[in-house]
Amino acid sequence: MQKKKMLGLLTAVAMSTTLITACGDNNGNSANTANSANSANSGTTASNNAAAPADKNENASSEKPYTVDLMMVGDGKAEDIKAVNEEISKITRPLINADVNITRVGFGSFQQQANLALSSGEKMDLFVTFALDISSLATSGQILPMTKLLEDHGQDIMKNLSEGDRRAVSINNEIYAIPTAKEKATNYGYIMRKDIADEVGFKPEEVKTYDQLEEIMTKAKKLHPDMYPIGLDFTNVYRPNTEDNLGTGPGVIDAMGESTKVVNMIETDSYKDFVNHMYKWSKAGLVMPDAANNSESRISLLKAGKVMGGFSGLNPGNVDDIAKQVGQPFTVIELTKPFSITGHVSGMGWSLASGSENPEKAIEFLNLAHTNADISNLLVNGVKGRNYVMVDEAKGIIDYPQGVDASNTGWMSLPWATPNAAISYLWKGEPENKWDYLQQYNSSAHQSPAKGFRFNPESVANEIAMVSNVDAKYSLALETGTLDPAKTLPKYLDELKAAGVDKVIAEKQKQLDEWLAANK
Amino acid sequence: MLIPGCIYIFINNYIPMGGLMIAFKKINYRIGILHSPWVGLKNFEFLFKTKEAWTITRNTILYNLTFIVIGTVIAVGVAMLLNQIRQNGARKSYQTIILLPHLISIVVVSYLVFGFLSTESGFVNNSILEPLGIAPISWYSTAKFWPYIIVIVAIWKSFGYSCIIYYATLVGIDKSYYEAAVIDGASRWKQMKHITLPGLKSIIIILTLMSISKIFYSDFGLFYQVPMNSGALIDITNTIDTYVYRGLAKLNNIGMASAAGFFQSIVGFVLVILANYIVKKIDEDSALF
Repeated sequence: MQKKKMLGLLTAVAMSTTLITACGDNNGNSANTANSANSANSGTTASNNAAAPADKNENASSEKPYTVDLMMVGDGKAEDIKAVNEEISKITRPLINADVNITRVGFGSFQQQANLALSSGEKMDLFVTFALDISSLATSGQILPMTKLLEDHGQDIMKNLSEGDRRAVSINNEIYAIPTAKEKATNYGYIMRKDIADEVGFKPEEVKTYDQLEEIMTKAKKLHPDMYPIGLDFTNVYRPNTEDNLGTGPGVIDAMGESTKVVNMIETDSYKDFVNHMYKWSKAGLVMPDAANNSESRISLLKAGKVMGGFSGLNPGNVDDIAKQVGQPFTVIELTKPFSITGHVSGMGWSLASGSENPEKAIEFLNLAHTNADISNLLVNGVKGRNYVMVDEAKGIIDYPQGVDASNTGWMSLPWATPNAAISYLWKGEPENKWDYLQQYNSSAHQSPAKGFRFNPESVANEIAMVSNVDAKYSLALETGTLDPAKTLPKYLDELKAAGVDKVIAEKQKQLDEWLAANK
Repeated sequence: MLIPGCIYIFINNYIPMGGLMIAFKKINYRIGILHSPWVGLKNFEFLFKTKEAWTITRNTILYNLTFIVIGTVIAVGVAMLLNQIRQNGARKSYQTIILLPHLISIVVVSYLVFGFLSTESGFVNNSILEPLGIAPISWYSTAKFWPYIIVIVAIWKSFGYSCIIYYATLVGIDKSYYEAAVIDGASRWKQMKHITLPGLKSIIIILTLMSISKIFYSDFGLFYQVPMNSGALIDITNTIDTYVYRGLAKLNNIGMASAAGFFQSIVGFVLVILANYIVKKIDEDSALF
């Protein structure tokens, strides 16, 4: 009996510990290895720093080449990745005595895979910050500060980094990411299939308000009763706004204004106006049904003829891209002017993982990727003859080889997620002034007064976790017109206040004021 | 003979318990777990300071209690019915059909449910309510139906598995009991009541105790994927796991996530001990330890 008891107790303890450790053990092991990898790493960094950079090049040929590990977003087939690795290594080996090893991860799993690689401390040098927030990565020590390294090994990058952008990717005056060549601003509007827009007949530049838009949508719905004028992209509404969200958590300022007073987004007139209209439109059948839990992309909805348009970000190339994928031209109604905030710049960049065993080499490679057109082309477009062919050598225009297209290529071309695509080739059909236009769009955008500020959510993490849960309950339901704002908004606000939204906003305001004072 | 198993359990289950300290620390990856500063119970605050604490605790526990009670009744019932089937082929195919939902990914299940409940093209709205002349219901924004939907889906998905375990026990009951009962003139019902159920008692208790240890856990997929993360349903479908996910998805804070896991385990541990103690009071031989 005694024995049976002991055994039973043992089983019970074992059983409940499996539960306890189910998530604990991963974290435990991974962080431990991260720790040891890092202490080893800091050792090599120190010794490398001690060695003068000058004699490094002389040793270059005798040293074993260092392999720079890159993590890129988007799909790639194994044999194509291998080909790109080989081609780039051919260039980098004589120049900086380094090989490259690229990992490509699809959009859906990138965030998770990158987080895993970053927290497990496995060797990784450079990665794109797709769907990752550099400020939380930096505070938890998962990425390394780059300023000193860039000054020593990345002068070309530093030269091209504008002051505003530099501030946007800096945390405590240390650079943590290098932005890619992409739009660094955004504006919002409404897009509608051109054939239907022409049928309705209106001048897009004259439409400025939701009421005017309503008139157009109502007419369009009458002409095509089985299509919805407002479709969503999964559950993205793309609510027209000019808010600077200042990083994680609630509390925004108007990016177009001069005021730096942080306010609660759902208390702004612009938000109330939008959700009121959406509710009205949803009741009138202008919004697609089950919008709040839509699981289809807008491309497939548009292609299937279920919807005829929707709100959208109007960054350069965005609508062209939609048009290309749907196979129909679109009429664009601009509802807000372009504005630029920290997130637009830092949202997509290349960062140095703390798992890097040779940060100097990694930065040397990044610098090379920024200046060497061949490397840039390989990273963006893949291997010539394999993933693309030249159409116009003089203008640098390329196209897919016969039998290959965007859907079956072995190397997904994502210029916006690759270091400095501005020196790479253009795809056939892209405007020849693409990079100039982008430059112009970026420089014409209104700069938010808080651009460069980055909220550190640490001290109010509990409140943000609670607020996120309230948001999950109401925000999408309101923005899709599922719930009546007259009843729901006050409830939403009450629950936000109970969850501590004011504390987060006050903290944001405090940090913003400090930042403004320091960056006068 | 026990040694390899014990070593395995020690390495796999006991050593990683050191990781529990993450729940009490503010983790900095660069300096590692051991050197990260202690923050006491701060990581636990977000679970209790919120107004939602009551909702998520209520949902998690009530749903799980419902699953345990209804799940056990249905699984035992079906296992008994299976035992009555004399034809081998039919019994095998019933077993397979019952077990099948258990093997389907919850994401697939969520789309099966969506196929039924979609406002525009769903089966229920189009093929049941419309012919009856009832106006279509916007299922994903009407909270009152969801407790039933969740329970139906959960039971449909899970009862097959425990049913097989009960059935395996049933098969092991000595046939001579039944023969003796038939000779004594006992009806089918009396056979079930006096032979089958007592034979199943200890396995029912074990499975229930094991479910109780997980009473503070919820199947994330069931409560997040199946309602399609619909905001209007959150009051009804928010459990501790979905709350933690929604709260921490943006923060990427493993300290707070570990705190939630730690809390769940503690509650589970206490409940198992307690339930076992009660069982022991009632019937010493059936208790786990």
